[in-house]
Amino acid sequence: MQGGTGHRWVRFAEERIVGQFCAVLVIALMVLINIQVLFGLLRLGQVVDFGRDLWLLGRGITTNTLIDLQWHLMVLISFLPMGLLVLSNGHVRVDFFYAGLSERNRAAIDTAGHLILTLPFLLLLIPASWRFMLHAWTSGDGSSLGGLRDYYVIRAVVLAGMMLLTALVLVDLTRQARVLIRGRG
Amino acid sequence: MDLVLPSLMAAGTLAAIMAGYPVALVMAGTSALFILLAGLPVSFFGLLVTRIFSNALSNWLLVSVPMFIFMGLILEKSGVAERAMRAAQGALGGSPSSMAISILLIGGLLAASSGIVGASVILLTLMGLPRLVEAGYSKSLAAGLVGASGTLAILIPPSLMLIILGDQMQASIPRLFTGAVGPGLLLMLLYGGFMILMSPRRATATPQPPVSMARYAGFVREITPMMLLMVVVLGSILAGVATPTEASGVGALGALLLAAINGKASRDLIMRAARETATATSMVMAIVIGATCFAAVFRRIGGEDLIHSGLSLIGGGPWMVLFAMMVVIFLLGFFLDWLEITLILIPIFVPIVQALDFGNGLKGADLIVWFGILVAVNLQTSFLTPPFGPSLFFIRGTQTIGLTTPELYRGVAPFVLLQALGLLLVALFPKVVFLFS
Repeated sequence: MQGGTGHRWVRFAEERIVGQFCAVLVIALMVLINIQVLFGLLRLGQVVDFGRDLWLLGRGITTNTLIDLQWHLMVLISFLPMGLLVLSNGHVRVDFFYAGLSERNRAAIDTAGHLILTLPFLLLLIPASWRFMLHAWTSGDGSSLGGLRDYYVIRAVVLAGMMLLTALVLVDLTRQARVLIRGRG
Repeated sequence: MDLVLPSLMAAGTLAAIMAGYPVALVMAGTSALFILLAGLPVSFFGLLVTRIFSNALSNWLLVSVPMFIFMGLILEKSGVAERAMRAAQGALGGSPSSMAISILLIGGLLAASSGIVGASVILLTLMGLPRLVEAGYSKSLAAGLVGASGTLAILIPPSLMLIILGDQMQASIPRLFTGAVGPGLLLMLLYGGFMILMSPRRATATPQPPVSMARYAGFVREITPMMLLMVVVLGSILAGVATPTEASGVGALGALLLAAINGKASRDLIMRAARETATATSMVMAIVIGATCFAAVFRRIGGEDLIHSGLSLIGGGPWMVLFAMMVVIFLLGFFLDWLEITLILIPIFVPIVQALDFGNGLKGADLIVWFGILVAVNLQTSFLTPPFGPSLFFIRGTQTIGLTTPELYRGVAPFVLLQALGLLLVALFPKVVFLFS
């Protein structure tokens, strides 16, 4: 394991918490889909009627609630491990040349990539995501078909996901910088 | 229209990818850079966020991605697939060519019940490769067959590639699934024929146990659960009873049940499979998001014109255009994944193809399904082409027979040619695609 204790701690937290959490989400996703299929077989449109408006869920649970919940979970499953993948070197690379480089040269490529590509992308997209979330909040955007009521929630999750990713790219940058300076991790 | 910017963007992206920086981050990063370089309004970033949301994140179809991955991982980790494979070898083993056929059939079965190339290739490499070499085939040829059979997983439905292709082409997924069955069988026939042709003359030293009824019964018993799962998942999609997402969820639960019956559904195994699923899903979604941004910016700054003028340079009729597209996809397949190629090129190619008349009576939705299958067969070869073919990495990483890289490359070469032949046949005889519809 390379890097300082700070980096190690972040990685541990990501692996333990994010890893376990996402595993549970995958299983929950499977259960949700099967419940939805079951309701479909039983020809149930609306399953639960709360009789009043609840946060996020709206007035009741319908097939569309279940479908909305599925892609909401999908957003979490997609976003949470992304930062971990940066830290654990897990993102797909074409490493034909990369694999043969010295540790220092590899760190140089990753540092340049983080600084020129990834961080500008995230820093420019975060304000846009903020506005996107705000728009859903002020206009009360939600499903018009009895699905989830508050789409700003998931947009806030995406915003938070991008911020988390930015933070972890910064953490990785410190590790790369250390390799660059010392020549090895 | 200025072609400098889009050319620069394409070249810069390829260069950064070749340098080894993660593909998803390269595509996302270049999109942001070229918004700035092209002087597009800052509001374009808002458009990117909207695109990321509508094309990738809130796309219900993509929910099937983690479920198909989970299903495949459970089948692999629980040993259900491995038992089916052992039983098949027991039942069909004997001569070298029947050994080859049994591996091909198991490849097809794995493909039709889960569709994860990695799992399929690894399983076939571990269990099939040594047996093929024992039976007298050269290491190269054996590795070639294992790679090609395992790679069928991406073509034969349920297939993640066809789901994403269908999404990008706005084509019906069940129709693409049905359309891939014929070409998948055609490729299996080509591989099988080739292996029989190349089978070693002399029988090997190791005597093979005689094939008995008991072995056949064992074989049937072992593959029945997987066949059942396949029929439920694939059948419900093809019959239009279930959406791919619904079928994938039911399939995942089914795989868990099979694992439980096998006595392997421990908490630990399920959690490990689920964690790996989340990681793999995140990798795929990172690329989907990156490519979505890339495609939006690339098209906005004139990438479409670049591709159009490239295609018009070649000139010629519709067939020439199709040929050029296939060559571009094939060549890109040496460097990029099917996923990036699909997400970037297909939305540009489809409107062009839609306007063409190939003189084979295909138009509208049929034309697109046919084109989609051609793309799918073509992209399948990218798994086998050196140096980056993912199947090659899986074989090299798991082989136990002392296979060298040149031997591996030599071994897959004839199968890449067979696939090109398959592609040609599907292009010339569209009937293969509509055989089952």
